[in-house]
Amino acid sequence: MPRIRLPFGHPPTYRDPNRIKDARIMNAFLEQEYEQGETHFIKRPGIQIYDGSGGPSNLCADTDGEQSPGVLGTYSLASEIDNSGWISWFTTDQLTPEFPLPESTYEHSIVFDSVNNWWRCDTWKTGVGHLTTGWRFKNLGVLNGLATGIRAHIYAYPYPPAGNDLEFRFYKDPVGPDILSEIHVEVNNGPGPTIEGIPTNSYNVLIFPIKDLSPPPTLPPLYVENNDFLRIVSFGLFSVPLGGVCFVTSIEIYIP
Amino acid sequence: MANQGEGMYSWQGSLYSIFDGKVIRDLSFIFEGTDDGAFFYFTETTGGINLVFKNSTNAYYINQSALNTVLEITDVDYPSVTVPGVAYLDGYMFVMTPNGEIHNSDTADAFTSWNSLGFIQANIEPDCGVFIFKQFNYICALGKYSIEFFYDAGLPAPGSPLAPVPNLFNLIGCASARSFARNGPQVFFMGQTKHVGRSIQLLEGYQLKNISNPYIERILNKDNLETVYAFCIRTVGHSFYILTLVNSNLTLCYDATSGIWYEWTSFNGTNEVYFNAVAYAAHLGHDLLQGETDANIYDMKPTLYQDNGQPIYVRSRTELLDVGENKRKELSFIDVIADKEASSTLQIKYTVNDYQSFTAFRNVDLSLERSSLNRCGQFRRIAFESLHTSNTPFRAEALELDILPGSS
Repeated sequence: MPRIRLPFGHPPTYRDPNRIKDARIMNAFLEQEYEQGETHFIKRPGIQIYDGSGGPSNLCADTDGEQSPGVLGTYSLASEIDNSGWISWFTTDQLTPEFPLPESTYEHSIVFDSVNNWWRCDTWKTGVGHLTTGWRFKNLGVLNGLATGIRAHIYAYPYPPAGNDLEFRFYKDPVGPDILSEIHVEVNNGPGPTIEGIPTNSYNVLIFPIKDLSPPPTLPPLYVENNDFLRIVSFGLFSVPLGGVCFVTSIEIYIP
Repeated sequence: MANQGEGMYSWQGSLYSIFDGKVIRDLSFIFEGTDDGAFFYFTETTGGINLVFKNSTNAYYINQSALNTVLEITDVDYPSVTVPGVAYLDGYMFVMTPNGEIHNSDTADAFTSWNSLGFIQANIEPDCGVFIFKQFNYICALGKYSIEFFYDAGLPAPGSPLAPVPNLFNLIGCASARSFARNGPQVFFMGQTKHVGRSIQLLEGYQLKNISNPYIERILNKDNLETVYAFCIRTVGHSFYILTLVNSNLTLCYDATSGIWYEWTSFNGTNEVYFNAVAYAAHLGHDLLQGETDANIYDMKPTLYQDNGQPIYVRSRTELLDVGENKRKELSFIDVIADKEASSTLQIKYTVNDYQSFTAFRNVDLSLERSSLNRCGQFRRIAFESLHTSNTPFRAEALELDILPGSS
C-alpha cells in the first residue's frame, strides 16, 4: 500500500455537543506554500507583556554604578489598578524636578535614570552656611477630589557615606505653610535593592487620608477639593545638613 | 468585573487603555470615568486634535494640548443612553440610541455641543439599534434585524445632516454588538435575521457576505452571547477576526486571508481556556492586545513561541481516515514532515474507535533527521491528534503514513 500524506489538521467541525468528534486546528493557521502548493500548518504568534516602547522599562537594581539593562516585558497595569487602591499618578519619567530649591546652598544633582526608571537625587556639602537643601517635583497635578491619599516611593541610603537621613514632604502649592505631610512620615518597608554596592531602605512617604495640616486650623480629613485654592501637590526632598542620595521610583495616589 | 479591559486606542504617540472605567495613558492613571460595564469606543476629530471615547452612558474627550486631561461631554442634549459604537463624518460625531435614533453633534468639530433636534431615525425596519459605525463615507446603523446606511446630505441644522440610502438597506441585523470588529474596510459582526440561527457576516464595501460555515454556526447558536469579545489583528501576513464566546469557553479565529476558521486558546497555568484578549490597538509598530481582567497589555509577535511564559497548546485533530475501505489495515510508521527544530517535540495520539478513546500521547523528536513513530497498530478508520507545546517555532506539512493491508 502506498504512503499517504495526510492534511495536518482540519478546521473545527462541530459534530456533537461535547465536540469529542470534532476535527480541530487550535492555536495555528494554515498557509499555502508558494511554489509547491503544499499546505503548511503553522503555530500562531505568541504574546508577552508589552515593554512600553521597545526598550527596557523595569525597575532593577544598579549594583555596579553602571546602567544595566532592564527586564523586557513590564507593561503590566496590574499594580496600577490592582484594587489595592494605590495607582500610579505619573510615571517617574513624566515628573519634572525643580532644582535647586531657592533656599538651597548645597551642590545638587538630580538625574533621571531611564534604565532603572527612577530619579537619582544627590546632594553634597561644599561649604558652610546652609540649613537645608533639596529638590522638588513641583505641580504634580490637581487632586481635586480624585484621591484620598498620596504617597511617594523612594529607595534611600539609610546612612549615606557623607550625609544624613533624608526628609520628604508633600506640599500643597504654593510652597509655604501649606505642608500636606509632616516631616518624617515615611513608612520604612525594609531593605531595598543594593545600589552601587550600598544597601538601601525602601520607604513610602505617605499621606492617608489626605488631610490639611496647614495651620491654623487643622481641618479634619480634607478631600482637597473643598479647599478653594490649594489643589496642586508638590513633593520635596531635603537633606540636613551633609548631603545624601535617594532614588524616587514612584508617586501614587489612593482611590478608594 | 475587576480590572475588566474596556478598550484601548493609540493616539498622539500614547496608548490609552481603559480598565473598569479607569483611563490609563501609557503607564499612568489619568482619570476615572463612569464605569457602566460597557466597552469604550474611540474616534478622533479633524486633524486628530481630539480623542473622543464613549461607553453607553458617558462620552469623554482629550485635547492634544493636554494629553493627561480627560473632559466629559456634558451637553444636556447628548443622549443619556447610547448603543456601542461612535462614528465621525464631515466634522460631525454620531451616536445611536437603543431605539435607533442617530444623534449628531454640531458641525465644525463642535463635538461637545449637541442639540435635541439633531437626529434622524433609522426606521426602514422597526427594530432596535445595536451598533453604529462608519463605512467609507456612510454612517451605518446596525439594528437587531437590519442594517441601514446614511449619507451626509448637507441638510441644515438644527436637524440631522443625514439622509438614508435606501438601496443599501439589508435585512440582516446584529446578534451581539461586541461581536463587531473592523480591519480597515472589512467589517465583521455576528449576524441574525428573524429566523433562528446566527452567522458571521463580513461587510466588504457595501456587500454582506456570510463567512461562517455550518459548524461555526452551530457553535454560535449554542452560546447565550452574555459575554462576547471581538477584534481584528493582522499579523504574519494573515488577517484574523477573533471572536470569543466566554460562555462557551471558546475563541474562534477566522483567517480572512485563507477563509479558514481555527480556534485559539490561552493556557492560564492550570487550564486551557479562551484566548485572553478583548481589544486590539496598533501602537508604535506593535500589535497590542488588552487582557480581559489581568490589567495587562500584551504584545503579539511572530518571534514569540509562548504566551507570556505559558506554553501555547498547538493542536490538530484530523478527520477520520479509512483509505477508501473499511478493511483492517496495519500502520507501521508515522513520519512527521515538519521543520527541524532543536528541543522541539510533537506529541501524537490516535483513535480507532470514532473518537471514543485515544491512545496515550507518544513523543516525536522534531530535531531528528527522521521524526517518526513505528508500530502503530491496526485500524479500520483512524484519526490523529497532535500537540505541540515546546517553546520553539513549529511548522508542519503532513503526517506521512506507512500503511500495509491487513486482514479483513
